[in-house]
Amino acid sequence: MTADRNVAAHNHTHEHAHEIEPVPGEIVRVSCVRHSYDDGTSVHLCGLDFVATRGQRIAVLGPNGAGKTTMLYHILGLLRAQEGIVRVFGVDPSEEWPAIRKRIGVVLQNVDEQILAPTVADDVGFSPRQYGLSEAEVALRVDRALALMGIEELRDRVPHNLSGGEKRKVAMAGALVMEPELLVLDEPFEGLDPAARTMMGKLLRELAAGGTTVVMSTHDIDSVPEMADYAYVMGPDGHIALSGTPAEVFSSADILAAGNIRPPVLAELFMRLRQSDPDAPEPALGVAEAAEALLKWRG
Amino acid sequence: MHIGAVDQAATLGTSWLHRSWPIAKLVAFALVLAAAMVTWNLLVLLGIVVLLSAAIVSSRVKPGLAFTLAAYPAFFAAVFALASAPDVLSGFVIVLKALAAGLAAVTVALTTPYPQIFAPVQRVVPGIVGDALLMTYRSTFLLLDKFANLMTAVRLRSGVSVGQPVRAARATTQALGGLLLYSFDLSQRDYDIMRVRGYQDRLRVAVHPSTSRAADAVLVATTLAALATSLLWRIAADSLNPYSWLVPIPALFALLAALVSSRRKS
Repeated sequence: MTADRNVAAHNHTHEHAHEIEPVPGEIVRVSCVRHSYDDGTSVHLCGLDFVATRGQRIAVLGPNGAGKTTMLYHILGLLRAQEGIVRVFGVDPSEEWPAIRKRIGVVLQNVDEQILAPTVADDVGFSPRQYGLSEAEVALRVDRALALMGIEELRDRVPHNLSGGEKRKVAMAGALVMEPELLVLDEPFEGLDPAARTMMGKLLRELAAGGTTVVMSTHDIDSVPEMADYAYVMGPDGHIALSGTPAEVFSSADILAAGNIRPPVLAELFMRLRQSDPDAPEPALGVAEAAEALLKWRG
Repeated sequence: MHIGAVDQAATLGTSWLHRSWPIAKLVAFALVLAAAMVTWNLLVLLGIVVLLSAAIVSSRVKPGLAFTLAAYPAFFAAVFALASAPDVLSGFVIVLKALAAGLAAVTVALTTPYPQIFAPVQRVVPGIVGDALLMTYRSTFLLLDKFANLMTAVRLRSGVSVGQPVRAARATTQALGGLLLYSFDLSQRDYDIMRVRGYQDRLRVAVHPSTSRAADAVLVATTLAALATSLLWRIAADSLNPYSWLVPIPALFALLAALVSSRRKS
C-alpha cells in the first residue's frame, strides 16, 4: 500500500462529503470538517478523509494547534461540525451520542479532569454504574479492567494522589471497562515509563486483534511504529496531508517537515543511509528489525 | 486545597461518622443548618459550633483541613458583617452562622464520598439543580487547586512578597480574573467529560447501607435536639435568654470526650 498524498482531487466540499459511501468495516469517518471556536480560532480538517475501520490502530500526528484534539472531540460528539461530515458507527455523534456512547471508551489529555470518583475502583466503575449495570456486573468489570492495566493494587487508592502515569492507567482502565468497540485516546503515552509504554503497546495490539478500533493522537513519534498500524499526518493548518502505514508515512520526509514532525530516530537513520548509499536497506522501524537489516546489509 | 485530601478523608476514614448511613448524615446536616438559621442567640450558635467541632474531632479527619475549609464561608460572612452588621454582637452572630453552616457541610464532605452525597440529593431535586450542585462541588475544589497554582506562579513570576501588599493585591486580582475565565471553561469541560463517561441527568451510585443503626440514631437525635434548642430559644427568647450560658455546656462535654477519645486512639 502506498501513502495517500494530499492532492486536489481529495479536497471535499460539504455537499460531496454527504455522498461518501462507507468503506467495509468503517467505524469512524471525518470528512472536511470545519469548526470555529468562540475565540475566533477556526480549524478546517480537510484534505484526506479520516477513516478508521474495525480493528485498526490509528495514530493522528501533527504539530501543536493542528486540530488533533478538535478532531477527537468531533468523534466524541463534544463538538458539532459546522461544515463537513462526522460519522461514528454510521451516525452523527453530536446528534446521536446516547445511541453509541456505550460502544466508545475515552482517555482525554488531561486525566486529572477525567477522574471523577473518590477511589480508583469507584472511578473505573463510573461508566458501568451510569449505564445501569448491576453491582455484581460492575464489580466483575472493574476487576477485569484493573487486571488488564496491571493496577489491581491501586483499587482502594484515592486517584488524585497517584502519579501522572498511574492516573493515566486508571483513566485507561475506566475507558476499557465497558469493553468498547472504539477507543479514543488523546496523548495516551504522556507520563508513562518505558515499561508501561511497552505494556500499553501490547494491550493495544491485543485489543485491535480482538476487533477494537483505536484512534489516538500523539506527539510521541517514536512510539508510533509500535503502537499503531496506520497513521494520519495533519499539517499546521489542519489539513490531513498524508496517511499510510508508519513505514510509509515516515518515509515522506517533505510532508513531515512541512508539518513540523520529526520522524522516529530509526526512520531518520535509514533515510540518511539511503541518501548516501542507494543500496542501503529499506527503513525498519523496530530495533530488532533494524539491527537485522543493518547486519544483513553489512555483510 | 487539594481535592485528593478531601477524597482521602471521605473514603479512607473508619470513624463512626464514616460508617454512618449517608442519608442519616444528610438529614443531620439539614437539621443543623436549620438550627443555625433559626437562632440569633450567640451562645446557642456557639453551642452548635462546638458540637460540630466535637463531630469533626471524633471523625478523626485532619482538623486543619476541616477548619480551613469551613473558614471560607466564615471569611466572606465576616466581610459582610463588617459592612452591614448593626452592632458587634450581630456581626459575631453572622460569622458564627456561616461557620456553623460551613462546619456542618465540611463534616459531611469529609466523612462521605461525594457520589454518596449527591446521588440521594439528585433524587429529590430537579435535574438541572442536581447537575448544578454536583458541578459546583467538583469545580470548587478544582478551582481552589488552580488558584493555589496561579498564586505560586504569580509569586514566582512577579517577585511579589509579603512586604509589598499593593503589588500582591494587584497580582491576586489578576489571578482571580484569570480564574474566573478558567472556571467557565472548566465547567463545560467537566460536564463534557461526565457525558462521555456515561453521565446522563443524574449520578447513579450504589448507596452505602447503614452499618450502625445506633450511630445513625445518635446523629439524628443530637441534631434534632440542636434544632429544638434553637427553636425554643427563638420562640421563648425572653424567658430563656438568662439560661443561654447552659447551652454550650453539653457541647463542650462532647468536645472534651471526643478529644480524650481521639488522643487515646492515636
